[in-house]
Amino acid sequence: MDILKFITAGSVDDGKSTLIGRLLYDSKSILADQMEAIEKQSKNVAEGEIDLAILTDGLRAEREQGITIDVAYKYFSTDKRKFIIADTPGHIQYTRNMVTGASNSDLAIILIDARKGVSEQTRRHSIITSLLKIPYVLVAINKMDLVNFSKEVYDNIVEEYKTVQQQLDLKQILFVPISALAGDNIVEKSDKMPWYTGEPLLHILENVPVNSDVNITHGRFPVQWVIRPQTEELHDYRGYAGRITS
Amino acid sequence: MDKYRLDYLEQLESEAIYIMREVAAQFEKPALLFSGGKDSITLVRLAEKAFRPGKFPFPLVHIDTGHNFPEAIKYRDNYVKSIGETLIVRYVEDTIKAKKLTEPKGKFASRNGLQTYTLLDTIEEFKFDACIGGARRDEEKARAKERIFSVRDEFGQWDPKRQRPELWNIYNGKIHKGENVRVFPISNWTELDVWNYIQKENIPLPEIYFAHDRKCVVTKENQLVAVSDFIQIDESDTVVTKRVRYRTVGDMTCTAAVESDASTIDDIVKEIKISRISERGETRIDDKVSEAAMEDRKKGGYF
Repeated sequence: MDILKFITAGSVDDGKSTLIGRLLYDSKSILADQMEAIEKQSKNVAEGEIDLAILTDGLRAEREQGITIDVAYKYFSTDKRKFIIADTPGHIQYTRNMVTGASNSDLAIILIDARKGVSEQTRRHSIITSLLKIPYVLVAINKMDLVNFSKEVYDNIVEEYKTVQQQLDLKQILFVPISALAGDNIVEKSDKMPWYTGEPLLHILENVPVNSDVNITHGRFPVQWVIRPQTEELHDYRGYAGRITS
Repeated sequence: MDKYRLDYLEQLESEAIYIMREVAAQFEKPALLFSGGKDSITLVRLAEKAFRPGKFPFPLVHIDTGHNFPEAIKYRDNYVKSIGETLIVRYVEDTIKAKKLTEPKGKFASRNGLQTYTLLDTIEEFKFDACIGGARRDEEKARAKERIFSVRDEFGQWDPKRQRPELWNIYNGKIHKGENVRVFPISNWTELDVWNYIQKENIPLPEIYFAHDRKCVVTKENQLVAVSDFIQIDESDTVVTKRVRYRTVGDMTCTAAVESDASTIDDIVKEIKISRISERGETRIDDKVSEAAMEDRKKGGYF
């Protein structure tokens, strides 16, 4: 088993926290007592809607304002992988916190609201993704349920994003149309978008190759700490401790 | 061989050891907070990997509430002796007397909140500039927000709105005089990861983690709280003897037992894998008080 670290990025209200809630919910990683707490706090329980964003918005100020201020880390596993998610803020003034979450990621999910298309924040987050050299970008076009699962809308956004891609050094990009709230194309392929021939989002996350190999032919060994026991039997011992990087 | 690959547990281990050594290298006077619970025991094993054959470049520190399980204290003292490291113990009881603090009253009155005072006093007494702790981000949603190097102001307080950037594996330990840092090397581990590691490394644990018979009071929420001198038992209470174990080791007043037959680490790993209730949800009584209970305690200086 290996680990995939990824971030969810995109503008405010593009549904980042909801997507994470959905992934955790559908992979059965939300436990019974956590679910109970979410249901208690959701405002529209009567209408059968639970607010999955509550799961990651862990600070009081975040819940009060309904926004994400700082990165929240969430964990789940499937049979194939352990996942570490960094749920990052969408607001422009908290972009610095998004960078913290992005720096250790193997993949960035950039969410785009299907009704709004590519926004300023989409571009900003794409630039950061490119600057930090995150190997994979998964552009998730969200809220497809609000545009009647229209192929045309989806195609237009894909085209629009490709112009962003050309200006940046982003190589491996995948597109997927989803509805995080309703769960379309998250774990299972959605029957509402038969025109989409790719895989659902979780399938992509499970199968994208991650390089956890350490290259020791051209390895470097930064010394963090020198171990000197200075005891009778280990009088002249010096151990150089650190982690091989490549 | 020109490449090698770490599996997921080795990656987590490698990250944690790296963080430990960063603490040793960057700070003047670090300490490792050791309670005798599974998370801090894991930290000790990681420290052995980071610094042996040398001694740890920090003491182990325990803030003793006086309400601990006797098994945990026995384990703590034996284990520290067996690895030949230094243990500093400071007592909440002493802080209560010295500062004339009021003890919380009630049925399951917990000293958990008062622990913060003793911890801050201890940091002050020894001038610790970094405290390594075994908190994990999967435990609780305020913890999910915290950096690995979490800077606290001179009052030990956490300000979630002023967290620093923490890029790649660069940990910034620069602090002003009076401030200190809480460091969480196993931030990215889940409860199951910790158990998998304990299993892999064959680490000895306090016996209360394994199934045993115990007299317990059944609470309104149907949690089982061990009968002890520290809780108040009323006539209307139901006292039962059950086969239980502990999923986490806290105070006797605020940690609930779980019914279980798991008597080996293998059994426990199996049990955790199929559990549908979170660690804190099942065992902690003190988090149920309010939605932001942990955030508030952290802002007050709790680790």
